[in-house]
Amino acid sequence: MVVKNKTKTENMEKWIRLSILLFAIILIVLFIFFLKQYIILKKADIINIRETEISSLIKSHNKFSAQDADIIRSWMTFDYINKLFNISQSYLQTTLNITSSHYPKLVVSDYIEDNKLDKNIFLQSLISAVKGYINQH
Amino acid sequence: MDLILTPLLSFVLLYKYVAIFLIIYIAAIMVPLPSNAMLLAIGAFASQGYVNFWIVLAIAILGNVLGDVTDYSLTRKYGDVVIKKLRLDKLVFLEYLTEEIKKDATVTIFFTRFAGSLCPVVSLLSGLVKVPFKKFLLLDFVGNFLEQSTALVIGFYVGNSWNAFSNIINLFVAIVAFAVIIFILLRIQKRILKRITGK
Repeated sequence: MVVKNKTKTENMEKWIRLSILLFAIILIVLFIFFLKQYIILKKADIINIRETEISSLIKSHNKFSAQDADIIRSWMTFDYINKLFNISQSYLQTTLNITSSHYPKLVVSDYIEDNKLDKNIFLQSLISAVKGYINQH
Repeated sequence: MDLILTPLLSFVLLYKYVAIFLIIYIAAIMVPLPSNAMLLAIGAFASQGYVNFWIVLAIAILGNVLGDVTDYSLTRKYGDVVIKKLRLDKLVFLEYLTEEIKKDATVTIFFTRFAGSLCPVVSLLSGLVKVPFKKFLLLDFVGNFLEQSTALVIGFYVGNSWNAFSNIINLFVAIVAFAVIIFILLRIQKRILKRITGK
């Protein structure tokens, strides 16, 4: 019985050793991918080491320009878009003829789905409307 | 973008702090939600003035800690009964694992706060082996504070580029998870070798 237990324990130790080896290989692969991602972000100038200061926590971010309107996505709400681009609440509702009572607390994709609109066409209209507003103000 | 992430972001934009708390709490319990990517996005929302950074940080920590404490409490109360019912008490590896969690609770609990899905697993095990509650709470709070604030600060800093960072954050979380697993397995192996050699 003691011999049987010892063999079981030795087997378990063997499996644990193999698992450690496998996980170590996975860890190395993950680390390589991590470094790769870091280099990609650095090359895209998204990480700028000179700017990593504690004060950046309270630094104000620049106002958005008309070009930035291309970041608009269907998961955003109209309320968020208004705030992001500093647009008056009624502007998009009037320009895009939005009749939903939930506006502006309304997800763009929900509005598109409820009104059976073409997603790409509506998004382009929305982006154009936002660009138009920014250029005028 | 992720099929799960986009509806979560819409939910956050609609219901703000309540949504953030619910999502983080549910993710902390055991449901695999993309909470790291979400925290990056919320950090960006805070930089844009849509939500308050400090309120979000407090809510994120609270949601995470409550989720972890929920897991801990469940296994602390019902863990032994479930283990016996599922006959897992016969599993020798579980015996070694629980012994390891008990002995290296500080390292295991703290570092798994950074390790994504491994976090709730360790919270459950901590309750099962009855790690002292105060110790668990302290390690959980400190770990969560560092983890949540790091993700939020990165999101706040990078603003609109937050999505570009979610891959690197996920890789970091995976690296921490595997490093912790290797650490635990090495410690278990050491114990087994001690028993085999009788030293």
